[in-house]
Amino acid sequence: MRLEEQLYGDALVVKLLDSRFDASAAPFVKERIGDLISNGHYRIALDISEVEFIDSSGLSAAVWALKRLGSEGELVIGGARGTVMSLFRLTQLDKVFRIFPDNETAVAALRR
Amino acid sequence: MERLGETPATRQAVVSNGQVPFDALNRQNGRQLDKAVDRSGTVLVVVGDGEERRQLAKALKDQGCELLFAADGQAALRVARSRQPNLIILDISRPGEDGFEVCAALRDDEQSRHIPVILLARGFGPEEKMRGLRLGAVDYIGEPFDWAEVAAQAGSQLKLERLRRDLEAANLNLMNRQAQHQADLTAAAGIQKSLLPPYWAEQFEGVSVAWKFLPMDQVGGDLLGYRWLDEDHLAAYVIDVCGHGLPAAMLTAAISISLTPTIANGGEGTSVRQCEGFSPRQVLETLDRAYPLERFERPFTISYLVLNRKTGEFRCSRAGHPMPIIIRKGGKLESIEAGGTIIGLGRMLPFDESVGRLNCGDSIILYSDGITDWTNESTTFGIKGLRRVLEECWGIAPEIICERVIARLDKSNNRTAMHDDVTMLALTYGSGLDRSMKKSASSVPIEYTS
Repeated sequence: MRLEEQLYGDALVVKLLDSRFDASAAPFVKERIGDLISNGHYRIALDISEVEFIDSSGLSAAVWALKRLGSEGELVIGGARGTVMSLFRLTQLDKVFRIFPDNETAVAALRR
Repeated sequence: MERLGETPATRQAVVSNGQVPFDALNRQNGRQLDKAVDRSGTVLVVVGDGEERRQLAKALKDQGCELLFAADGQAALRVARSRQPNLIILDISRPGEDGFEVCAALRDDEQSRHIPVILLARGFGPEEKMRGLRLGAVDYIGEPFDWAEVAAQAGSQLKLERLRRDLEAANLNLMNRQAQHQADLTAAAGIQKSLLPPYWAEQFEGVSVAWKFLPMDQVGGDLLGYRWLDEDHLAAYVIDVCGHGLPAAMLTAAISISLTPTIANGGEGTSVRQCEGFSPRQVLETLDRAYPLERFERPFTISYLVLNRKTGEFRCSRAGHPMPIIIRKGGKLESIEAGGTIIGLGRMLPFDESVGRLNCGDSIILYSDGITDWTNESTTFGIKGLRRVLEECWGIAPEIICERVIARLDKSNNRTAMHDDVTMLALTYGSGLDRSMKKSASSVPIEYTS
């Protein structure tokens, strides 16, 4: 899994560049976000607009990041596509995460 | 993969998966290779001329080699077989013998064919060189003979030979460990099997239950179960732990035990027996407290149902799990939506539960996403596929419902590899159910693998 990181003020967008957010990609994403949080990034938008497939491992990584940030930070999701969004709904994680249609709205929400 | 020579300053925007770049690997391997700078070993020398033999022997001894000698082909074969040198240096220009034949004999013999052979040749041309190499020699050295150089070539071959032996040993070690791992998995599968209900299908007064458990590996990240909470209340559940294989299976075992009503209320409050009114919502809340994400680093989903076999009343909740389906008379289907999100988030979202009532002949199906995600190249079975099967299943015994669903999966995929654990549990309320196999699919259900 390749990631692209971009800072917008104090909001950091972490974009997943590959289409499968699964058991092979999840550990690296977790580790990277863990490092970013340790380096002081507390407002993170996970851009999953390129992700076509996500499974429980991917969700687990996102959830882990959310819990890691806790109340001192915020993690939002941007660009969840069709089938990916369905999984968020099925697991009711759409009620746990703030999910935005794209990067711009996600960043705007973080910076508010 | 990071590009070689890329300095940290240029790596800001894109970070890739943690694969070690080539130059670091080479440094690491180089250090290991340097350890094998030892160019020694046991060399069998088959050289006719006495002076040449002495010079070669000296050069090899200077390198630390141990030496064996043979005067002719027969002796060479004998020594090679019995002493198993690491390398043979064979002079094929010796008078009185066809050196190529000796080489061929060494390569043909089972006990010597693995020993590399360096040919020394005098007065032969490129054709003979090809012949020698085709016979399996690893090197072919012509005149003029620089014995130090020949010894160095020999040293390289010995080094290679040593590396090959080390690799073989490592492979063997790996195979043994793999066999052990396999044995461990088989044992774990046995343990997991013992956590499942003892019978595929059971018929009780007022309710029948049946299930299918088909893990994609030897052990599964799913689990299912049903337990009598008291005389009238049957609890049933399907769990799906994130991931597969051994780590996920271990967690299913822990959760299964948490759900055992006979376990006394421990400090963490994991006994469901203590839940007032047998409330699935409370069960899920208890699990959410007992299995925070930080503890096992694996979330799980669960559907949990309690059915009163006397009245048909049920309570049902799910934690991020696929919605259970009720089959009503006429094949009408209802999805049970009530619940919360995956277990482990520590009450980020409250759990709610659905309360309802089954009529005689109605069924409830609990299942994991291995069924709805089942895909062949072009189509996914999906919730639509499942509903299509279940619509025909009112009033039918649960074991037949399960058979039909699994048979349909099998048909839609032509028996290619499963992508996920396939798990389902069916409960049918009432008596006098249709247990005839007349309406069931004709294809053979998938074998229970573990």
